Amino acid sequence: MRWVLVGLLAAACARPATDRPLSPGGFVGAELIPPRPKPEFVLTGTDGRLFDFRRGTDGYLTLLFFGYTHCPDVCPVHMSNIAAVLKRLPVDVGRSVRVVFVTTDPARDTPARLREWLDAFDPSFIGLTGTPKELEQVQQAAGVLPAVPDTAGGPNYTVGHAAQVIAYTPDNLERVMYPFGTRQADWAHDIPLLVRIGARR
Amino acid sequence: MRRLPLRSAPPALAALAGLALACDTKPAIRAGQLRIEPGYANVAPTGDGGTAYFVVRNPGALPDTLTSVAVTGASAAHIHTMARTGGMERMTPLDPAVVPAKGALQLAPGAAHLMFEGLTRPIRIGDTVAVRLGFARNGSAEVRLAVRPYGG
Repeated sequence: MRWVLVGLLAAACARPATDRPLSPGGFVGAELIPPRPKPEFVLTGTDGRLFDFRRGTDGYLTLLFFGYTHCPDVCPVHMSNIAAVLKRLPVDVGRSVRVVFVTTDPARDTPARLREWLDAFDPSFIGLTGTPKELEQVQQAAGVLPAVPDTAGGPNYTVGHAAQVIAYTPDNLERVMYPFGTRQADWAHDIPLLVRIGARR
Repeated sequence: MRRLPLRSAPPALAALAGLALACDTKPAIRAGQLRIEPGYANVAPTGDGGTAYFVVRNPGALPDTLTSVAVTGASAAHIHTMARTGGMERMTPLDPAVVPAKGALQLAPGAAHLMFEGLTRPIRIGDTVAVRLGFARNGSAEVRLAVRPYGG
């Protein structure tokens, strides 16, 4: 009887870790075939110093996201899910990952506000900003549609932005994209696979 | 080891109780004919606002409209929808927020949300926020939402 109950509960509520179809490479995320080179760009970090994306993330699994700190759910949900999974994975896996959040709202996202917002998820997350022109070029280089501020709504304006996280494997290739709706179980499945591709450490 | 009282209960009852516990189902709140199913709330990491999620079901034959939204402890509250076009995420105010006849107004991450801003006191994970909803036809109701961490 107890096992029947357990089965009932599992069937009603549980979500197995890999209930999603996998890409040819075995990822839950959307695999890019063939992979593309990682873009090169330089922006300003939350410490005010220039950050060379290609050099600063070389050899790491790099998760790149474009968003803004006034974003209601897509941005904080992605950041929160990645942070939660990195905390649960073995330390050496976590150490092989760089998370880079590029603001699409440089007018409101000062380096200090970016830092405060990212620290709430994980102090190791890298926050980058730049001029509107620089940010537009970076988004184009990363292959996402540039974000558009919708300033018609007054001071509490919203910013349209790409909703996907882009994953670059340690061999500096763009391999997989993670749309909004990616769950912690999906990240926990894919991150340990991604950190091994072309790893040098 | 202490025995769980569940084991002495009739199996069907125990299964039901287990289901209710495991799924954390909450009773719906009524406003006239409408049924409001509580969701949850998130608070922005910067502490200046947050988002709330719930579903308003309308079994009636007439549509209704949300005419007022207030969150206790916040100076402003608005409903927004998220539209995704060509990989772009864009938020637009949903005004009026219609509850269709024999349908529902569903607030869920990535689709639509209630955004509240201008907090008069800090709201933290584990707190409860009270949301008062007023409708054109069906009166008003208060729904209480637990504040929980983002994502899952």
